[in-house]
Parts: sequence; structure tokens; C-alpha cells
Amino acid sequence: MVIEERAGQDLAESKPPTEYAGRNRLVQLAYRFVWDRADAEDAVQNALTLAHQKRSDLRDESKRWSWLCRIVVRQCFLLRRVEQRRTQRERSSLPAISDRRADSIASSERAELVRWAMDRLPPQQRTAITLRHLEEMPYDRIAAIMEISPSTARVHVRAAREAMRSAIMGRDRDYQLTARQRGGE
Amino acid sequence: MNVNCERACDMMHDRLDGILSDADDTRLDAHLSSCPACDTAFAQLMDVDAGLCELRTATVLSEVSHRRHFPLRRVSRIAAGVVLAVGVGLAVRTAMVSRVDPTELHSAVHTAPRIELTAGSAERYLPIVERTDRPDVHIVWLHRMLPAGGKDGSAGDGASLQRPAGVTLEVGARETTPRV
Repeated sequence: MVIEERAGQDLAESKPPTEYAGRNRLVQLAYRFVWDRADAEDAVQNALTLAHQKRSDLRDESKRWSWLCRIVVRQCFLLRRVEQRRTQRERSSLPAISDRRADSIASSERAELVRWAMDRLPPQQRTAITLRHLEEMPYDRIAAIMEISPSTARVHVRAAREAMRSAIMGRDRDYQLTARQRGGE
Repeated sequence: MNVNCERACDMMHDRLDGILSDADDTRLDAHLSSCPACDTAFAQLMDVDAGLCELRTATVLSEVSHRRHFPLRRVSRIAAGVVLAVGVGLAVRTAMVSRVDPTELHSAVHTAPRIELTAGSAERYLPIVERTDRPDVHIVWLHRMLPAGGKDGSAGDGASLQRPAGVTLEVGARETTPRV
């Protein structure tokens, strides 16, 4: 039985969330939204508790896994909003490209830039690009999780790519402008 | 048939999705070779795509490399922690069954194949096994008020633990939060 079917069965059998099959898979998904393992664990725990409480709301049992993923993604965005409000005063508006943050999770500068750009996407585009490129899901699965059509999912992914391209290129221009200004001082 | 820039943009994304037909692939290449703006844009999209690939690889979680399961900032009750460890110089009990009271704190190394939990009450304990950097050291946190069951190598019915081969048992205590 694939992990999605087992997770759905666990939900139907009212197993405690700590025993859900596929829990680790959901933590992996959450991690790519919150970039912190502890936060990912928290988001999944909250999501599974919520799913456990609301399992009777699910009418189509074949869509349990997509439903679980959707709840996890929503909990991730909730967690991010709480964290952003908490750290609003400390955050700078545009970190320098050459910064090496202590929590950098990617070894390449390009991956860090991409991560930076992803974090600035609106939720729909952020979700779609994460599910497509980081979770490698097909468009029909993305559509099921986001409760949209596959074509709309495709539109969100494309818009996300373009937005990220513009953001990264814009940041490059600002960096080079700053470097030229410093060189002229 | 020549394509315009708008159509070329659609084709770029189709190529990134791996769904561009051979004919359109050729048309796109022809357009890129004659349109510097689109050629630059596609190179930038390829860079984003490559960055996403690197990010995907860099963010694969390891199942055993992490050390912390439970957020200490949400401490709510005390659970007895049972540390499975290879202990040298500690008291060793060699009975077939070791009895551990989760409500008491003591330090001892248990080598029995099976560890039974005595709570002194009707409460059941859910053992959650936490791996550490040492393969022969496991920490087992016992959560109260949870259904029976175990995970991560421990086989328990909530009132007992099957000690994995190659490890012994040491009892400790730690504040943590029960997960329901």
C-alpha cells in the first residue's frame, strides 16, 4: 500500500496523529515552506491534530492525502505569519547577496537566492512552485491539494517562475549599483 | 512558422515542464537565436530552474540526523525519559524483564530483553524513541495520557518496551510535551 493510502487509512481508523503513516513525508513537505525542522514538526503536528478532529468533514475518502497536504500547507503559512510578525522589527528589507546567514540551508549562492525569492511570493504561487519543483508533484496532484484546476496550477507555477526571475535580476541590479557607488566613493 | 515573443515565453515554460513537442522545441530555438531579449530571459529562467533543483537537493531531511523531536518552548508536563545506552561502570541488571517506574527518577542500565513500565496508576505510556548521534544510544520518552503504541524501533504496548538488540537501558527524566 502506498504511503498516501496508508495515511488515509490511519485517518479513517482514527489512529492518533503520532502514529500516522507518512508523517515524515508531511514533515518533509512542511520543511520546504518553513525552512526549519522544528517548525515543520510543529506545523505537521498541528495539522494532524486538526485533521484528526475534523476527519468527519472529509467526504471523498480517496482524497485524504491531498486533504492532509492542504492542511499542512495552511498550517505552514499560519506559522510563517506568526514568525514574521514576531520578527518584523529585526528584519532588514533587502539582505546583501554576499550575506552568509547562520541559518543558510543551501550550499550554493544560487539556491539561497532562489529560496529568498520564493519566500517573497504570494501564497498561491509559493505553494504551487514548492509542490512542483521541490516536491516534484504532477499538476493534477498540485491541483487536488490546492483545490484548483491543473491549468490554474500551471499558471501559478509560471507566474512564480517569472516573479522569481524578476526578483533575482532586480536584486542583482541593486547589488551592482551599490558596488559601483561604493567603488566611486 | 515563426513564433512571437509571447508564444515563445509559453514555450519556455513548457520546455521547463518537459512537455514541449519536438516541433515547438525547434521553433523555440530558432526564436531564441534571433531574439536577444528572449534568449536572456530563457537563460535566467534556466538559472531559476537550476537553483530550484539545488534547493530541492539541499532540503531533503535526514531521518536520523536530527536530535530534537519536541519543542522545549511548549513544555507542559513532565514525562519520564528512558535512555537506552551502552553504559560502562553503571549498575547492570540482567533479569529477563526489567521493571521501570516512569514516575521515579533513577539511573541504572537495564540489559533485559524486555522492559516493563510500572506507573503505579492506570495511566498508559507511549514510548517515543529519539535517536542520537551515537547509533548505540537511544532516548525513549514516555508520554502519559496517550494511546499505547511505539515507533522508531521500539515495540511496545504502552506498558512495556522491547529493548532493541545492542543497547541497554538507563532511566532519566526530562520535561517535554505530550503529542496527541
